[in-house]
Amino acid sequence: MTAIPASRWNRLRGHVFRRNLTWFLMSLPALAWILIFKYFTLVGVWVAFTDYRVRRGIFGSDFVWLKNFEFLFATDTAIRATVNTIVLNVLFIVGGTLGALFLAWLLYEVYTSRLTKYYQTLLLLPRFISWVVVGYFVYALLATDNGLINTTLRSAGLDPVSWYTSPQYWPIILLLVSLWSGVGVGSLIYLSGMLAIDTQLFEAARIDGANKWHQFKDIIFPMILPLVVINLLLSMAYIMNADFGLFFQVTRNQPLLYPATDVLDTYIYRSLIVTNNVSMAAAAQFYQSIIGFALVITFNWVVRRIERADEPMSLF
Amino acid sequence: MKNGLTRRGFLKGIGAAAAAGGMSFSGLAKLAAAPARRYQGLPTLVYMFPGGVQADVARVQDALNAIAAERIGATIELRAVDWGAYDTQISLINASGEAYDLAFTAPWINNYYTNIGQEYLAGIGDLLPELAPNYYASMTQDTWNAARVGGDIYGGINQQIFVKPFGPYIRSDVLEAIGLADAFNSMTSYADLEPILAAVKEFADSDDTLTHATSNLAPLSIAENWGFDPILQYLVVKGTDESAQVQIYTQTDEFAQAVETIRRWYLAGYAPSDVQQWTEMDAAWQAGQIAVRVADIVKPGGNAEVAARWGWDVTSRALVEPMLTTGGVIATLNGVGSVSANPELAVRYLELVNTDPLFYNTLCKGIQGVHWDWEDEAQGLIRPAGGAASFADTGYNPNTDWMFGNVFNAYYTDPSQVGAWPETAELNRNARSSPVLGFTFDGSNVQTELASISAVSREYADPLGSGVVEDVAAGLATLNQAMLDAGIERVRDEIQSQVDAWKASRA
Repeated sequence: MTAIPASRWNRLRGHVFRRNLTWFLMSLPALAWILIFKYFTLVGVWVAFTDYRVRRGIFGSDFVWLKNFEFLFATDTAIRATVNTIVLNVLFIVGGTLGALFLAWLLYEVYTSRLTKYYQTLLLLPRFISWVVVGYFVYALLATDNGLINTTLRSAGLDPVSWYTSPQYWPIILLLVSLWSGVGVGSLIYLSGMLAIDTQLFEAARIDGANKWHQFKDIIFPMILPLVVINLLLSMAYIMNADFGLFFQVTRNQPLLYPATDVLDTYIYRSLIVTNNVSMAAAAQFYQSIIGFALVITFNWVVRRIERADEPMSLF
Repeated sequence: MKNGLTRRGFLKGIGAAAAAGGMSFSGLAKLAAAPARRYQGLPTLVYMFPGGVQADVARVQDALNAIAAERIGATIELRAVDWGAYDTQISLINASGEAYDLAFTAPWINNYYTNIGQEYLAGIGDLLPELAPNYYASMTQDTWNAARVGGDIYGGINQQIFVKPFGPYIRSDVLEAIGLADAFNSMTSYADLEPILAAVKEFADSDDTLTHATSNLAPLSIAENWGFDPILQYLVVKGTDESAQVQIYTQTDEFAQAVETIRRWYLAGYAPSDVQQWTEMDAAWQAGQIAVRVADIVKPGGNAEVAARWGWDVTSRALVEPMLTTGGVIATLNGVGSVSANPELAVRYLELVNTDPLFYNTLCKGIQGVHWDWEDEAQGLIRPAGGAASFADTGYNPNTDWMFGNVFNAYYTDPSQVGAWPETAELNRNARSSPVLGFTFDGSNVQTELASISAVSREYADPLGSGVVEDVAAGLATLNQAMLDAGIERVRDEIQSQVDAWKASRA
């Protein structure tokens, strides 16, 4: 490839910028946000290695090596929280992706209907309901004495279940709640990908006798695979982070459920609410981020190894 | 594809920014009005405390400033922050280095010890005798020593009930309906409460609104119920133990007995099957769904305070010998911010609010003729002004006298309260002193252990305390093993060595 002369490069760059001015402007708030809250704050990582005192400042506080990280590994409870976080997140990622794909496919098939917009909105709405409120929805269903489910069980002659003391059911309950809340947003992204597919492909397929499943398997899925892979890669970054509202509010923070529902974020909250130790909180956040970072890099590398040159799917 | 990513990032960004903004600014938006123009030139003392913002706060603030401008040459700005948000917000303010002059602090909210460890509060031990002489002289050295950490005092103690005579509260109408008033008023231990709970449950079964006897049994497992002074939640010293041996509370017979009782009461159906959250318990009281609080601090005038808060007349009975503990003495403090530009004025403010009844009562009850009128001035009894049915309808009713200063200066709001303050002072004076009264623990060497214990105890001790663990003995064993793994013995030894050093320094 021959080098572009500087003068021409400048013209080209100016052209690219002018042509996309609106998009640049629209992304400005997000870029500013990322710069301020994600890059400037990186300096604060230092706090995780110090005995931080506000009045002495970040660099004036004593350096204590890895002492602040100890509580993340000190007990079985801490280890269990780490395991729970990973297992539940993998469950949510897999369940969420499958759910969103399926829903997007359904929406795509009825996309010409005038009701499509209503479906989309209805599916999106749960996302805007606070976890505190969702917690009470779930409680109305699962309450031991007069919840909807136990009342139904009793009237059907079955034994009621003490949901809030039975951890074994909670991975599924949390998955369902998480799907209910998030699958609408996820499906929109895949739906937009599906809508970009050339419809001639489907016509050709129909002529060849392909049914709906074949169309999904052989056209839709391969066409939006890059989108799916990128979404999965991005989720990897957050695999050590759990949605605090979901795990704290929806479980009503019931201790007997911890074996199944105690994740790093709730464990950290419970550990530090007494001591309010800023350094230990920073250490926990750093630990979560560094694992996510390592996973993104690793999986990106794997994707690069298997992707085809004409169809890149990796992030970088 | 790239557009999709950017949009996703953008949405995420907006969402997170909105969440962060909502958290930090929701309470700040409700700030009280800035002091009026006529006091310009005088320094303003910013006072942070938890509580709802009162409708008439600006008027009350003006009335307070008329006194404060003349007496200490400063004005004050009241900044009430919602109860639920206070801890979070004051942490953010501290972490950002924003200046405030005074803040409510305690071991249970806006943690006093954390504030000292992080140097958020200024030491005022030298300023108090000089700038707040009457206030300083109103309490004994032993009392002030309870607030002393590492040699200095970091907060002004609010005089109020220092002892914690725990006992049950019961709704008077229910007590009358079950006809056990005599039995209730002659109880001597929590065992005597059991037949009363049974009677309340039976009554609840036939009553439309009452659903359960009580909402939560957990308070029964609090160490103070069983004669301990808790240095930390699970590290205690028996009140009668002059040698001050630190014990692990969950290993004591008293704790085992408490959680067994709780389980028995839970199985008997005295509380709902699902553990209730604090807000739900308050709501249940107000709605008349429950009638008993199994263990709470029973204090002179307390019945009227509870009646005002929940709208039900109550009867109470103390079952625990009152004991003066460090935690009890410093249960309510007002500290001076370390970044305050006017720490001397802030200490003068403490003198004013703790020794001037008019100033203090204006802060607590509002303005005479606007929010309250005398019912009986000789007795110090007031009533809501302008024929309002209750103080809650007058536009100014924080109902937190104990937060602002010396409650012994507070006007009584209910005839049944009259005489409660001298009675409380008497209770404080005559109470047994804990063997570790005045000792404060510095936990900086055991931060990892404290974090682990906090996580573990909430998982294993809280369910025992609420009665939902089926096999209590096995639950206790699990709890104690988990506590050992979390390093509770190291914390105990650390406290013991500090207690021993503290005792030696006093001898």
